[in-house]
Amino acid sequence: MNPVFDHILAMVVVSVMFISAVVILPQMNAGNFKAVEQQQLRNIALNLFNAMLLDTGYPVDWGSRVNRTFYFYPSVVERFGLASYMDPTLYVLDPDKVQRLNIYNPLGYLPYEYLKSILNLQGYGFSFRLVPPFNVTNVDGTKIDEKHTPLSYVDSTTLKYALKVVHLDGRPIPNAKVEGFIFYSKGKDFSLGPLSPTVTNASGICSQIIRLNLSSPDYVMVILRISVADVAAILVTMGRDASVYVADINVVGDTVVLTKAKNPSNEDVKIVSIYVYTTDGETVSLYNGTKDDHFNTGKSPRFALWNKTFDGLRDLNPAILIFDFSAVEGGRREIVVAGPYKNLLSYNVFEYGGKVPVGSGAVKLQRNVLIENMIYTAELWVWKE
Amino acid sequence: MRVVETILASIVIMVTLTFVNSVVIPPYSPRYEATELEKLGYNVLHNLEARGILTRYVYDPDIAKGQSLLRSALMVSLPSDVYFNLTIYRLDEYGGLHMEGQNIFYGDPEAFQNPKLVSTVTYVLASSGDYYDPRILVLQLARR
Repeated sequence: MNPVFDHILAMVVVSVMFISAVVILPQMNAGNFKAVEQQQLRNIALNLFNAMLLDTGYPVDWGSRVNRTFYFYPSVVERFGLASYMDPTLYVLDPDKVQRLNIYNPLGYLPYEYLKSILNLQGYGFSFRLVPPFNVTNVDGTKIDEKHTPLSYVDSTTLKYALKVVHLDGRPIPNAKVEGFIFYSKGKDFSLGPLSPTVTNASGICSQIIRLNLSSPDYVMVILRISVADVAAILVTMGRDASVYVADINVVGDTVVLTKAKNPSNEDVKIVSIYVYTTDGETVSLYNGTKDDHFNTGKSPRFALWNKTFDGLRDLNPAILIFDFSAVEGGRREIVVAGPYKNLLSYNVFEYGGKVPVGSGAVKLQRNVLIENMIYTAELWVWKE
Repeated sequence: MRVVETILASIVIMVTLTFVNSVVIPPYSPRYEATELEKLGYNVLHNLEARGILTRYVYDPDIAKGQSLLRSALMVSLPSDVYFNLTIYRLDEYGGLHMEGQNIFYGDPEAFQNPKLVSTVTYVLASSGDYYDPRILVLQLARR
């Protein structure tokens, strides 16, 4: 063959190969590039999740009283981690730190963007969730909230609750143990008592009649502990939520802090007594108020209305604090208010961070964690922004 | 001749690149998923042991009742899309392994057919009290 044609043909073949390589190979590799990117994302997610769940962060008690104040300032956090510094067991989270992820925490929270900056996560987004081990709903499947309460009056001295316990995928859980305590008030009287333990039926439904000592109470608070093979969830349910105009209850370490209500009623409120409902299902009388234990719901110059430290409170594993207040509402009367975890560490899914974008190839990791001796599934979603 | 050499060289390069593409493991491959499930399995057993639940049910004198409760505990502790198959072995004084009770199973048996999609966790409990009486827990996990 003529060497000229030989060279021309060689150049044509090489050109075709080159063009093919430029056009086709990136297409062929696109899937792998994406896969490598996903793997990098997975590594980032795994490191982030380990840092969140296994590291205490610095200072180790950053969620508690740092610089002798229970008000939280994000700048306190030098290194982020949610692990408890008092318990060396893996995957035990510090409830004080978890509370600082609640954007409705009146004593301050850690903003998502600030946390991303101290984690050096620029260009990435994440969402952290705490999922309860199972769901507790009304019998018709609706979510339990203030407007859809499982409580109903049979007559003036008889109350009834009815609820349904289901797995997270909706299958009913039979034989779930339901126990609890009721706190209620009428005028200047206050009463409390345990509920008889019962179990759910084959459809996961359970109902019970409660006899009351006070007729037609003004305020009723029923705290239920639902357990499946000793894995428990706690449900606070009430007839009327008085916290919106009396006070919000907060716990920081061993200190109980009352903060301004959403709609303060500008009235003098006395603390009559405080009870603790523990994660083990026990009720402990914590404190009886004195003449000094009172506050005005609206006139305090500071956000905190009242605070008191109870040594060893955290060791009790408090799930709920129940306050018996004496307030002026059409004459002085007793009012029952519960807190602080009713919106955080109970049967609700707790979410912190960004919204997971649809179709973004976000990576999801799951671990089992303990908070206040209760089991939750922690989920972390990470994506590239 | 040079044309043939060029074409051959180019084909070799293309084949190499295609081969490299085929051996890369994408992140959603069963191998990564199995590793992730393994971590989750250890984590769940560890937390159940930390709360005293695992020891109480594994050493329950009423084996059937203990295993039924352990099944419920695993069902609520693991994510709802994870299937499991737990086998408990007792070690006798001669080092022989004996299966205790029945398999504690939840899910679709077909999910456990492909070994690449199944992760296995082995967890050892030393005793329920003062004397050495080990139980070996073999937990198999598969995603729905």
